[in-house]
Amino acid sequence: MIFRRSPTLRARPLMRKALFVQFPRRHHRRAAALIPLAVISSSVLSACAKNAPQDTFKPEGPAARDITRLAVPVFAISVGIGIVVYAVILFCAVKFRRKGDDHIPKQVHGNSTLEIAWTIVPAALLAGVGVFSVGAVFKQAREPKDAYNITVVGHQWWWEYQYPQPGQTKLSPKLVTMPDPNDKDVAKKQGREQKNLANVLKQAGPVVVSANELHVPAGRNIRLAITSNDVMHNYWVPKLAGKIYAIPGRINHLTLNSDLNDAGKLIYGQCAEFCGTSHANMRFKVRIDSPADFEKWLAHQASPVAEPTTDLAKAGKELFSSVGCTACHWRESSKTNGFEADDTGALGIKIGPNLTHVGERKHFAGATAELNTPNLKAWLRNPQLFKPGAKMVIRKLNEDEVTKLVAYIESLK
Amino acid sequence: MAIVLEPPSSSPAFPGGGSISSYIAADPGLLRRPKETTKGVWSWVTTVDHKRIGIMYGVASILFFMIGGIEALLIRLQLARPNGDVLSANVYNEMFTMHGTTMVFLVVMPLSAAFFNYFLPLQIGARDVAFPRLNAFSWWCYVAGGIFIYSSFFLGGAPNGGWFGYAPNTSITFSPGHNIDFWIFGLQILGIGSTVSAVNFITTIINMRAPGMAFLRMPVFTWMTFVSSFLMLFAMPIITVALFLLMFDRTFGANFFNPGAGGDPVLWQHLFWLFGHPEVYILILPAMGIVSEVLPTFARKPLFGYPVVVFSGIAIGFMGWGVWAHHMFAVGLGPVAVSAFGISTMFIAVPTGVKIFNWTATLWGGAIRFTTAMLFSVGFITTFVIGGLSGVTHSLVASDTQQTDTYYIVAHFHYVLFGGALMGLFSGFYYWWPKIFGKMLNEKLGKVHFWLMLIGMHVTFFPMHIVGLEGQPRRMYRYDKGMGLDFWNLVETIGAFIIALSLVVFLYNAIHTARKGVAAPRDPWDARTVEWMTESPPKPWNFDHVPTVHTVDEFWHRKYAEDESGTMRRVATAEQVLAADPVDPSTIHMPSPSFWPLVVALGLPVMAYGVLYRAWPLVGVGVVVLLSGVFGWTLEPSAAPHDDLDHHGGGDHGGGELASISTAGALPAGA
Repeated sequence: MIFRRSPTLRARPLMRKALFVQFPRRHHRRAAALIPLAVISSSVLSACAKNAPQDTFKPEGPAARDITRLAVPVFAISVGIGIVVYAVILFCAVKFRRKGDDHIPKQVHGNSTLEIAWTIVPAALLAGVGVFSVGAVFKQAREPKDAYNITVVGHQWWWEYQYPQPGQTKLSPKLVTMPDPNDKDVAKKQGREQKNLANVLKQAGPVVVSANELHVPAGRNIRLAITSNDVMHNYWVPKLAGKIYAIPGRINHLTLNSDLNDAGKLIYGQCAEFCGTSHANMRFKVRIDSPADFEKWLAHQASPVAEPTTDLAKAGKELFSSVGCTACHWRESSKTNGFEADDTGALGIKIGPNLTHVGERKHFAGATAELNTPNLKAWLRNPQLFKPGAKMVIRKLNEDEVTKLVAYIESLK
Repeated sequence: MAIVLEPPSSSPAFPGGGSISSYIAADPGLLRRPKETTKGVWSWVTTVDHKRIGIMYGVASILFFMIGGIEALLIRLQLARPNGDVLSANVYNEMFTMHGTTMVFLVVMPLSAAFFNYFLPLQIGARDVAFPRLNAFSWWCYVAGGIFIYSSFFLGGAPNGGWFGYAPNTSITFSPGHNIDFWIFGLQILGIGSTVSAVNFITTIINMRAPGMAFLRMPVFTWMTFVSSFLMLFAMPIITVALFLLMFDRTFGANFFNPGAGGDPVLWQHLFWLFGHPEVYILILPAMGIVSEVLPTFARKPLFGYPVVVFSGIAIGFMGWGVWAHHMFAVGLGPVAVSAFGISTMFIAVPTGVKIFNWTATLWGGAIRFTTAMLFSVGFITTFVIGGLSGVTHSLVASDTQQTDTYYIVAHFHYVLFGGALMGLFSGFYYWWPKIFGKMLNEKLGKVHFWLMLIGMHVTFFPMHIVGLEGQPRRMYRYDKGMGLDFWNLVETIGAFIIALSLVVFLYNAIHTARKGVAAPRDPWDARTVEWMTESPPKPWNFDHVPTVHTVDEFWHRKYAEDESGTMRRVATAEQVLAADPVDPSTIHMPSPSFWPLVVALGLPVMAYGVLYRAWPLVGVGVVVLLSGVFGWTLEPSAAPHDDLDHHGGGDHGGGELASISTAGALPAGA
């Protein structure tokens, strides 16, 4: 029993000598220890019995499993220590009651041996835990050799993903501070340097761009390079890895991976750092594909945008341009959003998700809603209902226009 | 003013020559100080009495506690069901921001300040703090800052960037409204008050202890006040700097946190947590001090290992500066940095653990009486143990990358700040209430309050561990169905209302006691320390005769002594110990009231509104108010006309008597 191994009770003869107290019979102590144990274990057990798609204690891949393996023993030790302390306090509360106004206990001022013991023992215990903790940190930080690279960009309130072109595995994102093109004339007039615009993410080669749903090949190490285009976000897939911040002006890295037999699973993820009004609506999904499916999916993503075939969708395409959707949304698979800059520094500012193959996605609006006709229609009628504070500005559309636009969006397979 | 009774060994020299008496006699006399009265609103507005200021801090923080509590209830109502629609996203963000800001800056800190103010001078046998007018200034800064922040609700929206205000979400680009400005300037004003208090308390403790009270004879609450005052002194300037940088970014287009222009938002996090982590200890150390007073009293045993408890408090104070980056384990600081901070975080658990063990050993072998105060103190230990242990689990860096920004963290810090700090402070209420108001709080109602609060606390916050580990992130105005979070979130909401109910019981108890409470005896708890060696409530000058201190538990040792066989026996009753010749109040000079601290503090929010609305003339008005306050402060005479000291001195300032006042208290004239 944890109880008997505790440092407090190992010091029993010493403590009895020092404090002149009688210990009660053993079953009293056991009974006292059982109360918090029962409370804690019953609540933890009932918690585990449920289906929680973001449960950190049910990892789906090696990286997340490493974390659980480190955490569980420490949680167990902590619960053990907690039970011992509770038992001792309960024991004191029951045993050492005042027996009358004349009851004056022995005035004990301290005991150096005991106090040194309960300084050194926890310190030694923690030092031991520290060794494992540091080991895990460096293991987590190591970059796996054969990793598949994906760049992740946080936007208020959705995630953009950039994949290498089919057949390649490497991406090399670089942050560059660009001069603000809007400031060009003013700066010239005032005889100063052009002001800087936000940091800009540049990829060395062409990429394949998608949003909200991350596709990864099963059983493979995925190395994410993560940054943000506006405020701080925090990228979190509880069942695959720990969190990492997406910070404007910086690139962070995170390794996540899954087991080969996980193919077909849909894993939940979410932004974990408060990032403004719709922080709660900045969710995403990770779809684990078999390696073959992943290659197929990526090849299709890299293909050009589909032309509409039905009349309704064709009309929708017209509207897409005339209503102003094109100001914010790309329909070229290799175009990134506000982050893309050409060599002249003129930014292709498009703040919305790349819609080249949007019709294939299962979710939209920060992965808060399933992508289907009624949801898309509701979104176009009033984006603010789905995502308060959403950056999408669209004029009031009539039902006919909504139907046409939705038909077009759904045709973008 | 100086208030020590012994005659000085020599007249202190003043700049320009002359003695203190000639200096005061040469007072310009432009402004008169209000005369000391004990009645009416004006007497409270102009008071510089540490006890009255303490009471005002207490009342105001309880008011803010109710406001912060209502915000918490709204948050819990919103989260009771998946996809709750009680609040809109933006209002929810305002609520959690204001809940955090209120509870930290407007409740726990000032509630600690209430106890510092009231009991620090009493515990060290002083008649007031070192700088009574500065003390009043700190109090008015708190009022001004609190009202300023809350005025945002009526002026376009409350702060909504979180109590941590991470850049660049708080920049003008992403938060264009004035919400964040209210937060910045409000905290600035509160920070001025806290910094000034810290200086005041440190000076008081160093210079104004009773004869014989060596540092290691100070009560532990005084020690913890001392440590947390140093933390405040060094931590508040950091948040001040950070807030100034943010203000310049927002108001004047600077780029400290703008990555596009070479700034770095991570800098904000470093500055904020370099302040924020010591702040956590500023919040908890006073409660630890209270618990260290209450346990020995009701166990009838000295604190087990007094020096160890004191030094572990100091150790926490030092180590608290080396752990801030554990708030940033997922920010990407690199493996070396996070390892170092992970290790330092583990080791700060050692002095904290030592305290818990020493408190438990204080109970061991004691003669425990479970009064409400004692229940709250034991409740403090038991909940703090859980908070401390979950804190250790955060120090595992890799594991913390799963837990950070989830409800697991929310559970952790509510166990240490609600179950910890606030339970300790409530223990202080029940323990010291008879001393402050001369009436006993009803024990039966107190126990109902305690058990409701303890149960409510665990029902609210324990499930947060579970939902946190199940992947519920913080600060989300809604969560989806089917995430396995529904049941425990509902339980948490129920718990929050149990806590609210417990506070209703407390407020009822306070009102009931004020109306029908039993008058308190001088020594209701058989207490051990110096603050009990005077009337309840104490006279304005605290002690007729300042006791000479021989041990930590001075009062106890005057009541009890060992007989020949070595057993402790009562040798005197409290009344016998305290029976003494009453002193002629006119021989004790107390600081005169002043309204200038209020005027100076009033200038600050006026300036803040000016900068906030870019109304530069208003800033000028604020500056004028502030400066005239400062000039009035400097120029007003050091004593009220017809002060007690003037009773036979005629129209002048009674130089003879003043000259007999020692400056052993190291007070600048009229400070």
